This record gives sequence, structure tokens and C-alpha cells, in this order.
Amino acid sequence: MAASLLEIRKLAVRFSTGDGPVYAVNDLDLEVRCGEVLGMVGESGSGKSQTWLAIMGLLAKNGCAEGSVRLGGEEILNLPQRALTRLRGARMAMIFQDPMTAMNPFLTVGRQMTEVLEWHRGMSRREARARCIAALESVHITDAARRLSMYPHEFSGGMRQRVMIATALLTEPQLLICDEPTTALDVTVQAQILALLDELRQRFGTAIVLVTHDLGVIAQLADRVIVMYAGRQVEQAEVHTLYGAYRHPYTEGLLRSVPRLDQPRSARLATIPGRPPDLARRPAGCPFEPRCAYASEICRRQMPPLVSLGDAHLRACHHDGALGPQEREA
Amino acid sequence: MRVRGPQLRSLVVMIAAALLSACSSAGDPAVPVYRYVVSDRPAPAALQVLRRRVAETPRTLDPSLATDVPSTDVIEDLFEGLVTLSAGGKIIPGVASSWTISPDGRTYIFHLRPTARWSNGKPVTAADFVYAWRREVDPNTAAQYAESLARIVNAQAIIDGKRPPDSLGVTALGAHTLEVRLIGRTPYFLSMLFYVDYMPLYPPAIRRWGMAWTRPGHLVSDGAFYLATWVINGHLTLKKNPYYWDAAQVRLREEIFYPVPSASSALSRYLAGDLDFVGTPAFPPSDVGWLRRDLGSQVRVTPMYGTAYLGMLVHERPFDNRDLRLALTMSLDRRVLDEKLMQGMDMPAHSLFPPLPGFTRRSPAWAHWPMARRLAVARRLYRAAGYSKAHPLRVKLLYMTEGVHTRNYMEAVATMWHQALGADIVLWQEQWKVMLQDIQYKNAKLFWSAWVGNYPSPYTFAHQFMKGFVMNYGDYDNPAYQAAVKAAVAEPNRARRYALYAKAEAILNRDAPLIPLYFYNSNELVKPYVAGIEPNVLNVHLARYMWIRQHTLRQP
Amino acid sequence: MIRLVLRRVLAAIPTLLVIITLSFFMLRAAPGGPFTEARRLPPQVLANLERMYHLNEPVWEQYGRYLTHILRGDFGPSYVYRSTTVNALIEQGLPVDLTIGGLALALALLIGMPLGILAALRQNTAWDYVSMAGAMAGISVPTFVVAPLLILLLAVKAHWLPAGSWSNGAPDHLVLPVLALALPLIAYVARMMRGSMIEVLNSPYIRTARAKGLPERTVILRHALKPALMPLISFLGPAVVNTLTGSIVVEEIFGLPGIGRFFVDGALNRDYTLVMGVTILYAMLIIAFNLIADLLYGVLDPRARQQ
Ligand SMILES: Nc1ncnc2c1ncn2[C@@H]1O[C@H](COP(=O)(O)OP(=O)(O)OP(=O)(O)O)[C@@H](O)[C@H]1O
Ligand code: SF4
Ligand SMILES: [Mg+2]
Repeated sequence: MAASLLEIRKLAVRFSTGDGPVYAVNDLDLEVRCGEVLGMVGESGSGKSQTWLAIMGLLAKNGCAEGSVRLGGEEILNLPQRALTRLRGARMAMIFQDPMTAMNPFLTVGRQMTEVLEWHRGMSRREARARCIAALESVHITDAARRLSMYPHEFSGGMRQRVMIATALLTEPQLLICDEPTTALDVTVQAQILALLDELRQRFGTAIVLVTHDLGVIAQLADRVIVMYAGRQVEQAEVHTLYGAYRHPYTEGLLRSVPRLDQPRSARLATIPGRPPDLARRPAGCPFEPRCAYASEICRRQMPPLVSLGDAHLRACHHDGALGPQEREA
Repeated sequence: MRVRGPQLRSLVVMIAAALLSACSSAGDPAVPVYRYVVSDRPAPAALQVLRRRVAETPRTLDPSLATDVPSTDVIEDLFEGLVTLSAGGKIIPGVASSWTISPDGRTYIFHLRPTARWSNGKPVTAADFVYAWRREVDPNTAAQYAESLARIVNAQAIIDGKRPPDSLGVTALGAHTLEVRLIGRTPYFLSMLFYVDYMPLYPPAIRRWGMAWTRPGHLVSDGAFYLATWVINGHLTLKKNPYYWDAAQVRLREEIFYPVPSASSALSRYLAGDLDFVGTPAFPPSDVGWLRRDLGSQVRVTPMYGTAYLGMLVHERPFDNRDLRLALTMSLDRRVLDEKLMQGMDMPAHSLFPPLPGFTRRSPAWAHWPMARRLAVARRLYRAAGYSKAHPLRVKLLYMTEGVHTRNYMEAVATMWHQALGADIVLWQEQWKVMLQDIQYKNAKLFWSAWVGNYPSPYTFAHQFMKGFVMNYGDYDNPAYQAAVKAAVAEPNRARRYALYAKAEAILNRDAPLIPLYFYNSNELVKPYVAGIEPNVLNVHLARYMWIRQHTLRQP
Repeated sequence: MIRLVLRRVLAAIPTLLVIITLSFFMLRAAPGGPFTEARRLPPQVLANLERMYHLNEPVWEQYGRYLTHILRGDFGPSYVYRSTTVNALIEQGLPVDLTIGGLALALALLIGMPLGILAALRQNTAWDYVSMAGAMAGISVPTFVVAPLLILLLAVKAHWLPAGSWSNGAPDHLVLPVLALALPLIAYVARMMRGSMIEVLNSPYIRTARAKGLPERTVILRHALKPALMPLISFLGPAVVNTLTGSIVVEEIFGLPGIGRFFVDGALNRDYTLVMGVTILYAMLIIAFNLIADLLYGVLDPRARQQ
């Protein structure tokens, strides 16, 4: 087993709103190991993005994070701004869902790339340019030198995501957090970007966190998977274990809803009956209980703890019996 | 003859000005005022600069074309005619040092001062007057007030394009002798000579520069000052003309005119120390109380030669009924109007002619009755005219939008008539120009009017009610009145002439073709260190008499 | 770019023509004329005047004559300011308005921009609340209230500054009018700046910039400032209109020799040529500044530049 890179302990993210607090992430324990791809899945609003934004120190003004996050053994949660500027973009980088809006339309692609090296590495503009050209080429962008002086709007969506990835990797970070990097792209481009991430992981040994609500994406790339529900981790397993022997009713629901190409896209998330819970309230029992087919008396009263099932498989559920027919093989 | 009142009070009084007076700076008695220690000796020459307000920017400095008060105010300091005015407003010799009048009163010979000079040093000659007067009546000049010269032989025919301009009855008998022939005896002719229309012009400047001859640097004038700067809508600087024949007596080095339309702005500017002299109207009537208290003798309220009144179409219903006209004029309590609305700043008027030294006005008898009696008689006349509670007089009263002040006054008049007689007066406000047109096209039966004379003779007022005169908007026509006025005009003796005017006024009082409201008073602000400004009914203050005293600011 | 300018200039011609035509006939339809005076002019004098100014010709002929004259850049003689041409009046008045208008706009940007940016950066702090309440007041209190107040406080009571007049643009005479004209503009700019800055700071690309580890200073100056300034450019057109209308009031209250007063004076006195001249000038200014705003947009926004 590879060494642990990022250790998250008892992470909680809370937002204060006009209607009281919203508990977006609760009691989250997990680690990211060097060089692995960690997938994180869950329905919309399950706290995936906020987990990583908290770690990057990018929470909205009304949000606050508690707990502990160690990167290479060093505490990084709630660091002051100055320390964050040395950490973000250097030791860990993050790319976002919509490459159309994630780049500054007023600055050339080159400027948005070189500034990273100028700031973190103290390079001159010229040195930085040379590095950026190489970086663009490594994400398979041709004619890179010319493209540096172009503006984001002159690029297609997939190209922009490549630029974002290239930019994130300029400083060779140990951790790359990809928050739904392919959701906004169409299917063929999606596949290209995933292939690219896989290639880069192998080449640079960067650990990648892949946040998505698309289990298909996870299956393609991830080594391990975290399943999130209502700001909590409900199951964690090696990817083949999860697909072959998931032990949580919610995971089951998710897997059942994995789209096939012959189904319309919109059908993807609609297959688990019921709606995600209101994060402003903290139920005493299992948050999935209202929607769970296996719920029993205890589920409503008591929060199921995350327990190890051995073989690096963890889950949080009171239900001991078998789940439905496990129709999918990893 | 020029309309002062309405223009002064109305033009360019914008919404802003209206609101300005609403939140008037001046209303606040806590305003700190400058106080001065003043000596009787003149300030050093370098400090002989007077900053004064002019009501608007002059529209032109061409004496032949000027029609507005601001223009004449400035032109009167730039140019000098055959006669001029003393500080107190009397006609005195100007460029002409003396003159003789033929026994029939129709031929005048003027002897020009050989020392009279243009601002470029050239002598002022009789030919310059001939040139200027011909230009005034020349149809190609299209001078609005060309008819001011109508008493001169052939003037009207030239204006009408029936005779050439050089047929005008004015001849240069020599470089310094001017002969003027009139169409009839004209006792007020000498006082008319002060008009800007009678001022001499320097022909070479006009020939050379055309329309632009009035610009600084081009304009050549023969008065005590010459034009140094003229920013339209901004300030005008006049400098002392070293060639002026009486330059030795002129102490001001410079006179600066600032156009400030509204009285409340003028007051602010004066209080801020930007202006030394503010001519009428220098402040809103409502401010007179605290200003008198805090500024003392800096506030000057003096009679001005003007009357505000309401005109009526006397040949049309309902005002063809004399009883009704009398009922209306009698039932107005002008003293109340004056105190409540003008803060006692104007003088109640019961007849047309404003006060004039030497002239005894004829007020109607009812003016001296107690109000109760007047009301009783007025109600009787009102009923006699066929009106009653059940059948009240219903009529529109036309006046102009410009000036909050007029509006308040008209509302008060309407209320008073309603209370006294039960008459229903509908107030009808129109923009100045629209109002004029409606009055001239006889669209209004009852309308606001005002007249301010530019020369001190009752004739300027009497003329308003002469048959055929363009400004006789009410079409008043009484042969007895006309005979009296004509007799007055032809009468060379002043006492007898004034008696004839008084007779004419008595006829007016009987016929009541107008409803007099008030005589204008001028209200001026003069810093204590400004000398040489004397009250005069024409409200003309020539800068040649003004000077600055030695003074220092007293620390508060 | 040149094509854009050309196209816009060409498009402005019919607009101007409509404005000219409408105002030409509307003015003439208004009751009263340039020579309507308390003393009705004798018919012969009036005829002389009308002949002099071609007012006796059929109105269509006058219209044609007017059009050919303005094509030559000649706005004709003023009827009210006799002995002066409209061109001369505009030449003299325009610099006054350009000075106070330009200074007021500059002041508005100089003060309003930092004010708005600081309010955005310190969102929901006392600073933010105080400056935005001030801005609200600045916008809603009209110039004709602010200006007399300034005069009262700074000229009449404190005796610090003159209460009015132009004095060839002497700095002490400029202070109050420029301030009166600038206050609402400052308020407007500050509010706009705050809003657009907040919006930009919440945008995904600012999150990206922060995720790259850039210091906050760089994030704001390099990444946020320019996009946040873009709405100011579209504000330029309305600002010019505001300044022009504002300056009419300011000129009146401070007694400044700008063209705004010619406009009002001319309209009240039916000085057809003067009103027309100023109207055309205003229209051209507004068209020009809208064009400049569009061009600036093109220069500053890469996305617009490409089209
Ligand atoms: N600034 C905020 N104020 C209040 N609540 C917030 C704020 N930002 C996020 N949340 C809430 O936090 C919860 C978690 O949001 P998060 O963005 O982590 O969801 P997600 O799992 O990434 O979903 P998606 O798939 O839609 O991206 C959501 O319910 C959201 O409403
Ligand atoms: S704990 Fe109970 S309710 Fe929750 S998932 Fe398991 S069975 Fe369902
Ligand atoms: Mg998300």
C-alpha cells in the first residue's frame, strides 16, 4: 500500500445562512495515497465539492471548516491566506467542472499559465513560456506557442479543460483535485480527458481526486471510491470491491442508476426514489432512512457508524442482510 | 420704452431657480455677514474695481438692436448719447454740451463737445449720430425698436421701406453741430435721447467687422468705459475709457458684470462676497426682514418707475361692462396683497401712473375709503352688472409660468375676488412667450401686464392706453382720454403738462380699463464701500459716478 | 474596427436627420416666435426682421435652407443674441461644459471607483454600509438641491469659495459646480463598481485564480479589476447624458456660460437656430460617446474584439 499523502480527520463544513446553519460535510475521515486515483461519488448536494473546496481554502465567505487535514503530515486546514498562496497551485491543484467559465476571458491563455510559474517558481516570463509550451504539448495541444497568445474564448471546451489540466500540473503538484472535470463536456471529449488524466497519473505519479456523480467515470479511472450521502461518507472500497460487493443500500441505488448509452442523460440521477435530505436538519438516525428499502427500526434512532468490513472496505449501515441481486460485475 | 418688469422677473427662471428659492440659502438668519470698516476716502486706483450683477447676459451690445434690460444696462456704461443721466436720474448734457430748440418745438440744434472721443481716441462727430440713427431705422437693420425714433421726420416712412434712410430728418451741420427735425412738438424728446437707440456709433468698426463689431477688441464706444471681455452667459469686463471727455471724474478702473438671473442666487453671491452691487431684484421678497436687520443700509428699497396691473378686453363680454371692471378693481385689498405677498416691498397701486417727483397722481376716490365701504360698493356694482351668487362671474386670468412669485400673487387675487364677490376666477398659466402671443391675438380677456418706463414722463404709461398703439392690448378707446394725452404731449410747460396727464389719469380711473396692482420698487444690495449709487426712479445707475471707498473687513 | 466606426457613423445620419427634422418643425409649431415681445412689433419692423432671417419663406424652403447650411457646419445667426452666430455661441459655451463635465466625470471615476471597489472587498462591513448609504443619497438627492446646499455651506456660510460665475475657469470657481455635478456621478459609479466587483469576485475564474495560489492582490488587480470595470464603459453613454442635463441645472445655479443655458434660454425665447444648434450638438455628443463606449468595449473585451 502506497504512503498516505492527505489525511482528513473529522472534517466538517458548515455554512451560516439566513435560515440557520447548513451542515454540508459531517465527520469525514479519509485519506488520499500517493499516486492513486480516489473517486468520490454522490448525488448532487452531497457535499463532494465543499469537501475539497474546504481543503483548498476556497469556501464561500459564509462557510467554515473544522477538523484536521494534513498534507504530507502538515496541517493545512484553515491556514492563513499567505500560507495558502504557497500551498495552492504548488503542492495541490484543483480544476473545476465548467472550463467555459473557469478561465478569465480577459487574459490570454499564456498569461493565465505563466503567472503560476512566475509566482510559485519565481521564473521569468520567458522561462515560464517555454515551460507552458511543453505543458500544453503534454496535454496534446498542437501549435502550443501560438495558442499561448490566444484568449480562452478561442478554444473549444475540451481544449480549455486540457489547458486547465496543463496549468494545474505546471508545478508538478502531489495532489490534483478534479471536481467533475468532464461533466460539461460531450461524451467523446469526456473520454479523451479521462484518458489524458490516466496518462498523466502514470507519467507524473500525481495523486488524483476525481469528484463526480458518474459511476462510469469512476469505473474507468479510480483505484478507490468514496460514496457520499448528505455530507457523510457511507461507503469506501477498492473500485472492484465496490462494483462487485457493495454493502450499502445507497451505493446500490447509485449503481442501479448508472446510465447506459442507450438511455437519455437526464435519467441518470432520477432513479433513486425520494429526494436528498435537507442539510439544515441533522437527523438522529441514518440520513438515508426515508429513502431506504432496507430501513429498520434502529435506522431511524441511531446513526450507523462507519465500520470496517475488512479488505479496506468500510460502510455506514445497520443492515446486515444481503442487498438486492448484485447484477453487475466489476 | 422697454419692458423691464416681466422680463426681469420671468426669463430663465427655471425649475431650479424655483426650488432654489424653496430651500433658499438666504432664508437662514444664521448666515454670517461680512462687515466692513469704511472710510470716506477712495480706495487706491488698483482697487477701483466694481463687481455687479446684471440680470441676464446681454443679448447684444449693439445699441440699435438692444431690446432687453441687461443689454441696455451694459450699453449705458459703454456709450453716451447727446444727453445722459445724473446719478439721481436727471437728464443732463452728454456728448452734446448744449442745444437750442426752435419756438415751434420741432427743430433741435445740438452742439457737440469737441472733447468727446471714441475709445480709440477719434473724435465723436455729428456724422456718427447721423449714421447711427439712419442705421436704426433702416429696414435692413431690422431693429426691433426702430419706432423709438418715430418722432423724427421721415422715420416711419423709412421703417416702412417707403423712403431711403438718408431722408431721415437729422443733419450734421458741421463736425460738432447736429440738427434734428421732428414731426411735431415733443416735450419728452430730450429724455428719449437717453435711449440706447439714440446713441452714436463708430461707422468704421461696423463696416469692418459687420455683425461681429460688438465683440471685445472690435467694439469702439464713446462712453466712460470700453469693452474688455464678454463671455456670453458669463461675465463682461468694462474698462475705463481714457479718452472719455469726463475721464478725470471717472474713478472706477474696471466694472465687471456677472449675469445672475434669480434673486436668490444673486443674494447668495452677494453674501458670499462675490458681488459689490446687486441691482433689482436683489433678493426674494420673503428675505427682506432679516436682511434689513442684518445688513442695515446695504439693503435699499426705492421706488421704480413701473406699474403692474391686469388688462382687460374692454369691448368684449364680460369686461365691456364698466360696473364689473370697477367692482373688480375696488374689491382688491392691495395693502393686504402687498404685506402678505411682497413683504411690503412694492407699493399698492390704485391708478396707472407711478409716483414721479413734481407729478401729483390722481388716485380714484374709492382708494381712500375704508375697505368695508369699498366692498359694499363693489358688491352693488357687481350685482348691477348682472352677477350674483347663483350666477357668478366666470373668467380666466392669464399670467406667465415664470416666477413663483407671480403665481402666488395671482392666486391671492383670485381668492380675494371669490371671497369679496363670489366670482369664479380660473387661473391660466402660460409660458411667457405663449402668454404674449395669446394676449396679442386677443385670446385672453383678463391678463397680467406690467410696464416700466425708461424715461421719466407719464407719457410712457399714458401711451399704453392710446387708440391704435400696439401695446393697447385691451383696445381701450376714449376720445376724451386721447385728447387729454395729446394736449399734454403738446404742452411745453411742465406744470401744465402734468396737470393734463393728471386729467387723463382721472379719466382712466373712471373708465377702469385696467386693474392696477402695485408700483414696482427696486430692491438693491450695495456694499457699504461702494459710493455713487443714488436712488432714481429709472433705476439706471451709471458706473461713471461709482467708486470704491477705502475699506477693510471687520473680523466677526 | 474602422468598418465598425464607418457603419456607426452612417447609421447615425438618419438618426440625426430625424432629430433635426422633428425639432425643426416642433419648434416652429410652438406658440410665440423669436420676435414675440411684450411690445408687439409694428408689422413693418416684423416684416423686416422676418425677411432678414428668411422667416417669411415657406417652411419647407426654410427647412431646405437650414439643412444645406448645417451641411456646411453653419448653424446660422442667433435670433435672440443678435450680432452673434450660433456657431460662436457654441464655440464659447462648449469648452465650459467640457471642462466641468470632464472634471466631474474624472472625479466620479477617481473617487467612485475606489469607493465601490473597497465596498465590494469589505462587503457587509460598516465601511460598505456607510459608503453605500452615502451613494444612495448622492443618487437620489437632485442637483438642484445639492448645488444650493453647497453654496450655502461653502460659500455663504464658510466664505471659502465663490458662490458662482465662471471667471475664465479659475480653479476656485470650478470647485463647487464640478462638485455639484460630480456628486451624483460619484455615487452612481461607486454603486455600479461595487456591484460589478462583487459579481466578478464570485465568478468561477476568480476561484480558479485563487486555486492557483495567486495572492489576493494579484487576484484583484490582474483578474478582477478589468472585468469589473467593463460595466463602467457602458455607463459612459448615459453618463454623458446625465452630465449634459446636470450641467444645465449647474450652469443656471452657478451662472456659468455653458451651452445648457443657451438651450433653455433659446427654447424659452424661441431662438430656433440656437435651440437647433444645441440639440444637434447634444445628439452628436450622445451618439459619439455611445460609439466610443462600443469601441472601448471592443478594445478591452477580447471576446467583443474578435467580432
Ligand atoms: N455558500 C453556501 N451557503 C450555503 N450552503 C451552501 C453553500 N455552498 C454550498 N452549500 C450547500 O452545501 C451542500 C453541498 O454542496 P456541494 O457543492 O458540496 O455539493 P456537490 O456534492 O458538489 O453537488 P454537485 O454534484 O451538484 O456539485 C449543498 O446542499 C449546498 O446547498
Ligand atoms: S442504516 Fe438503515 S436506513 Fe441507513 S442505509 Fe442502512 S438500512 Fe438503510
Ligand atoms: Mg460539486
